[in-house]
Amino acid sequence: MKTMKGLAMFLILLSLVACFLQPAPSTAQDYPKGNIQLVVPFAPGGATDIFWRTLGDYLSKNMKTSIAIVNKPGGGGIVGMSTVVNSKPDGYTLCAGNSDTLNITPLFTSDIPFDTINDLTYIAKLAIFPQGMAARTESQFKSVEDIIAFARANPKKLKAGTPGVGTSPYMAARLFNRDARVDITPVAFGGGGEVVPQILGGHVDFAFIAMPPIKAQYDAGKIRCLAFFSKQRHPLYPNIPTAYEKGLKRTIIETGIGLVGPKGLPPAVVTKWEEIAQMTMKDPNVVSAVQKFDYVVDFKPGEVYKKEIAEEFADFKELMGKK
Amino acid sequence: MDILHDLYFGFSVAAMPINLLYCFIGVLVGTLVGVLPGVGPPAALSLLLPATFHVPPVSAVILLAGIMYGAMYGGSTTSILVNIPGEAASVVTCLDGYQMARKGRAGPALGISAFGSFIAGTGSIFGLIFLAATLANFALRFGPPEYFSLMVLGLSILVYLARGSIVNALIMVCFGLLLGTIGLDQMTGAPRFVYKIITLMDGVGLVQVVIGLFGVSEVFLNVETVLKQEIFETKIKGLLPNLDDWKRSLGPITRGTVIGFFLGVIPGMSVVIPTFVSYTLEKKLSKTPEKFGTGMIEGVAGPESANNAASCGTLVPMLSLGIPTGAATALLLGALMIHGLRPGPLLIKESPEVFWGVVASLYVGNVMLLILNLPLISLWVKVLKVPYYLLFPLILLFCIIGSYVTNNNPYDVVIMTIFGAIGYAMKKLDYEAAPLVLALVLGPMMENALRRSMVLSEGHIGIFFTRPISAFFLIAGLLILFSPFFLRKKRLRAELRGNE
Repeated sequence: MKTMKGLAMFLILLSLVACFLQPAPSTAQDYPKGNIQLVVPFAPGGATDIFWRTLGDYLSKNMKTSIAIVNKPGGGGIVGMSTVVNSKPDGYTLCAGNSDTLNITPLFTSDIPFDTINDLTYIAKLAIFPQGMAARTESQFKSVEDIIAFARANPKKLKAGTPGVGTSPYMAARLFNRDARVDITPVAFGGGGEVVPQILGGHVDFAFIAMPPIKAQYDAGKIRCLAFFSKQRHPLYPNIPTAYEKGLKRTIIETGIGLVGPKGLPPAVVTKWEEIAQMTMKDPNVVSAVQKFDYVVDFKPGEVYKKEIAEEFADFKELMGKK
Repeated sequence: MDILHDLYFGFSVAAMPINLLYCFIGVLVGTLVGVLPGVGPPAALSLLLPATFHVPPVSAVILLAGIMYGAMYGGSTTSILVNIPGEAASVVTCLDGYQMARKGRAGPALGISAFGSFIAGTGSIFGLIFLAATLANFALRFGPPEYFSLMVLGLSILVYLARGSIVNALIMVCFGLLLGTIGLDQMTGAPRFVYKIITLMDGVGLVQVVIGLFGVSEVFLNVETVLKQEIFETKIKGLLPNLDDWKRSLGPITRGTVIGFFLGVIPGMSVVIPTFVSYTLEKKLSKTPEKFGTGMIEGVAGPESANNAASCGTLVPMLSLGIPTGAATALLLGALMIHGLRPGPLLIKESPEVFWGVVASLYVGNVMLLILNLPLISLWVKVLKVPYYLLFPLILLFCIIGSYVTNNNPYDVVIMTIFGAIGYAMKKLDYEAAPLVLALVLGPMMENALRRSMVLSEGHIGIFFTRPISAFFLIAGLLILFSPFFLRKKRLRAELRGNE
């Protein structure tokens, strides 16, 4: 009896100890050694989620390991991103999000428990998601000039729908107002899907929105896309002008899609990802797959991405400070 | 007729053996996942979305539609058996369905739920086929003022929802409205009542609140009493609805289908609202309204039909306009896009086999679900015979899984537990949870609609009355809200006359 009790105690002790055992920290040279978890801080089915899921297979093949995509929505991306910020910086938990969370959400939401620029390791930028402005085809506004003319003659009269406040389209509205020296009132809705019926039903005069939510209507000729807010014309829509070419030199907004990780990620991990990401984004299959959703491939290594985001952030702060 | 030709084409696509298989898998998996408390169509779709990637497009859509329907059916099972809503839209089913189960009538409740859903689904599919284009265009006329007025109408029906004290119900409504304000404000991004708790940035979470208030609290309550008495009547009175049940349910099913379908078509309308409307309508039309809440089958038949019809209704704007109307359709839309299909005005023209294949498979899915669920009723009913001390840990486990799985966030489980405690207190003090849930759903929608309307009208409140649809709903809502005052006078007069 005593030996049985002793044996039982020993086994319990052993299993307790086993709980605390950790695998030896893998050196960055043999990264990745196991499953990588990409946290998408948005709901499944959304634009960002679709991008990463499409990419998931290719990245997994090139990284030679399995990649699991986990959705942790909430707070415009803050909820998911904060779990990554608090995770171990070993490269197995990364945040697959977009740039809105990094340099737009902090402008509207106070009390974010981390600094989006300095508490993260920027790994790579993969693509951009061009934003634009759109109106009903029957509307009187057939071009950017129409809108500016009307807006200048009737300040505060135009109402433009946007998918929410902490988003690129909303910032686009602000940038547009500043650059064109007009006063258009943005009306925030709960997402691109909510804005589309408002455009079609004429409840708003036009909207700041990206192409995917309106694509079905655009193809059917019911919605007209007046302009994109990029420096160059969108490769898939060469006949839609850019605000830049119309003279609005500072109205450039492109949601970047990129990978970030917790602070203190080993440089070898970052380099490995930069290498693989660059290779993946060059693959013509990948390019055509993401172009289906109107993304434009744009690879930038981590440090460049961080600089871009920080500069945009400074500009946005100035913009918001004015109004 | 062209439509019949297209339908036949659709059925030929849906009836292909491989597609039938996908439909069956979708329906089966959807039901099993949907039985998990709190896991309804949106959660089921998001969990199973990755599995559909490597499947050909039309089959993928059929699979997903099957999952959506299956999840809805599965949702009502737990509502009836253990008073835990399988999804937010099944909350109303708990009210009378569970009481029927306690009286040994779980079988008929499950049965009428299955049949009602089937009839509603079939009816809505016809609505989808013939009315899709017209309805979609009508839905476009709903701007923020129309939404606000519709919500006012929705809140006003709460007057009839309350079973007991109306004052208590109104207190719950206020509590629900308050809870609805928690989170990031949609119009300014400012955090409200968040107190630096990141999880609260998106609000308390309807699913977690509902599971807590209904399910967890019920477990707490039962654990108190179970040592002394049986929770359920052990004699099961029949497995299927009898003739009397059918006679009483036909009306509710028909009304539920109509209400659910037409309300579901409105973009952004939560599927929860039509179920409440149906329940209240049945209560109002019944000759014995005070019996609602004790196990009236009308209270199960109507809302379940409305639930199913509304889910079908949400497909109308998605398929004909390419607009997502809620979480489930947004996921479906995303999945379709990944497969290179873009629903919208062009879908019918360019890929008719997708559109008609989906419509036909919805019907096939409905049939499969009915066939699948009926024999399962006897199985489910046996679950009730498991001794409660074994059952309740499992129930709690499923509640926890259900709350966690939506957002992969462990703090959601904390929220569920807190609301479990609150729900326990509420039950002891005779406060109803249903008005709270309705207010929690309606409140944020109403507030945002009001504020957007004010921005659009630049502060003029007349906008609600100058637009015809909005004026209609608003006046109807106010009339319903104040009708007790008019009716009271009539009743008093009738009483006085009766005493003479």
